Amino acid sequence: MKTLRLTTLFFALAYAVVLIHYVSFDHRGKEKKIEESALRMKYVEPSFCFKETGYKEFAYVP
Amino acid sequence: MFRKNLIEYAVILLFKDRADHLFSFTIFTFIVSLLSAVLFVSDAIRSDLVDAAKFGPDIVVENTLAGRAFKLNEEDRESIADLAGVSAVEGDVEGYYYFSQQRVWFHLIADSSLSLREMSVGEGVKEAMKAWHYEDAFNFFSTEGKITLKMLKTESKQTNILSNDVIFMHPANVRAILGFKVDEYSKLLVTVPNPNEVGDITLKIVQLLPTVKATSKEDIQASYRHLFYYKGGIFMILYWVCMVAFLILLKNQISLAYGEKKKEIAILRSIGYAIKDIIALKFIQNTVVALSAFLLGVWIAYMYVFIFQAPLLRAIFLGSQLGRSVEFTPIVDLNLLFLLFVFSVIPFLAFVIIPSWKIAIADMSEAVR
Amino acid sequence: MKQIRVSNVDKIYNSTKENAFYALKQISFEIEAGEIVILKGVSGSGKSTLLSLIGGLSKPSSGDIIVEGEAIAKLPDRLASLYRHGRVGFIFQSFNLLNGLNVYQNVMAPLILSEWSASQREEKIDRALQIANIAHKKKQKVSDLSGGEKQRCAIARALVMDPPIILADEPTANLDTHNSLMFIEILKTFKAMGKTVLIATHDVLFEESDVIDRCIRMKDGEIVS
Repeated sequence: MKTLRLTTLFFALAYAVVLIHYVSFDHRGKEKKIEESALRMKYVEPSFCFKETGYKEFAYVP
Repeated sequence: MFRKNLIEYAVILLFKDRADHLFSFTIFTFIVSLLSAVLFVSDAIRSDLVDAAKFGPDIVVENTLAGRAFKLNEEDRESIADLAGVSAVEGDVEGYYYFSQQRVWFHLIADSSLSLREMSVGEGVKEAMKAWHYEDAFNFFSTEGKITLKMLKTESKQTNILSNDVIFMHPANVRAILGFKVDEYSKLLVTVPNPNEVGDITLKIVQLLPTVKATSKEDIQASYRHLFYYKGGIFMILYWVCMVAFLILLKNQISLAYGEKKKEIAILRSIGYAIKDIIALKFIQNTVVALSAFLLGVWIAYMYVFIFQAPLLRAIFLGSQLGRSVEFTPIVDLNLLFLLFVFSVIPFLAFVIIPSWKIAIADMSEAVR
Repeated sequence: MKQIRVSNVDKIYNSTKENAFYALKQISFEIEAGEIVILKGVSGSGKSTLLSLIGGLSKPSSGDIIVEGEAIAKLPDRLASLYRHGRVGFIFQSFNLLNGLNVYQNVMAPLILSEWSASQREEKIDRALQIANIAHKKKQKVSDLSGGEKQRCAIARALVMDPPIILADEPTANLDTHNSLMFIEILKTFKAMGKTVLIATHDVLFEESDVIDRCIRMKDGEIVS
């Protein structure tokens, strides 16, 4: 039982770190910046390195 | 069935065979972390794109000639503007400029807030230019000669998913560099106040101008939602390959330890453990392994993607030419993680418990002699 | 009432095939509570098979085995497991200990299925270890024990639930004379505790001992005397 308790404690701490990181990330700020950029661009395209449609589909086939 | 004593003894037996369990724990953790990392990266990219697409025009019109992108002109703009239900049509000029020294394409976008001598660049563009010692200004070469623009600023790193390869400049500069006349456009951006009419107007545009492609905002958002969608492509292939490989490795491992396991189960049966007690023991042991591996795998994936920004993996999704500085927004889709849990932990448990059950129901008297 | 009553028990292997083999043929006998009985016979006489039937490890092809008024031959798995858990302590020829665990953890195994607290368990384990004279090795891994020590660990495990019946299959087959004699000494403790003991053996040391109450001789699956 001691092992299980230690394991639970480890995961509780590990996920606390994750939660703190997630909560402290400025989601709203990033959303605003993306909104500004999108409004300037008017038509949004992802900035991947492969420009041809064929290349885009190489990494992922929808 | 799961008394505290049984759980305690299951953990004792787990540590007795720790080498075997460590093997399956390590492999399972790796698989879960790989699949979760792919999910996290996909979700992060997709979420930013879908959010950005919200601010786009209601309909985007692009022209094609022989299957390739082609210009639109003022006549096209006016004919679309005349359609009932369309409140405005804005012509947009943008395109790609090839920087031969780095062998990369820059995306030129018009921004009338900038002056004629200025541009602002994305981080990837800045790095590419800096590599060729273009620190403050850059020369564009076109049919009209050389155009030198000063770098006013670099776009925020947080918008790299959109702006990494982008150069914002005055519309006149875009036209000059890309060879567009004043009445020519690369895209027409159509505003339709009534969202219910968007579908019809899209069809009318295509009927009016048969060579064009008209895409509604909804379609664009849907295509971004389906970009890297887990039900297709790389994720499913990865999932099946990983799970099949893992189960084959597990089967091998189980076969190697079969004699020992049979003896152990027979001993426990002989001292009074019923079949249900054996199954409970095995279930507890393997749940501890599987659950710990799953939690650790997801945790490692989160750290790898959102804190270390997924080195190596990011190149598969973003390409490797232009910059590596896209920041992934922490997005955790609990539904998908739950699905991953169901489709990884449950097959794992079934695969290890079924052989134990088969041994438990067999005649133990020979095994204990 | 007799504690163990075996009536017309057969054990047949490959019964549906031409080469059916009778490991036991029409075995009948009775044992009183507190008796120490040896089943004597050469290898293949059926004594280990008979022991495994009485221990509930397998079922006879026909016949009855009544232990303390209960017909154990027809019990479903759950009840047969309960019977093996609480009413019988089995000492195997090859000891059948869980190798990666220590003495304490091996002796603990049967207690896990009961509702006792950790302190109650510890008390029972310590008592069994004392009786088996292996308490000084309780934290040692069983793989590091000698043959005699392994057997004492097996004895402690068989005793820990305080069962009324102890079954021992060739308990001295893997022991030297000194340890064999020590086992016979432990039989005296079993007798003092009022346990019924049934031992399958071909070791002559048992016959020479005065702790044995009765000897049942077997040959080719039958009782000869």
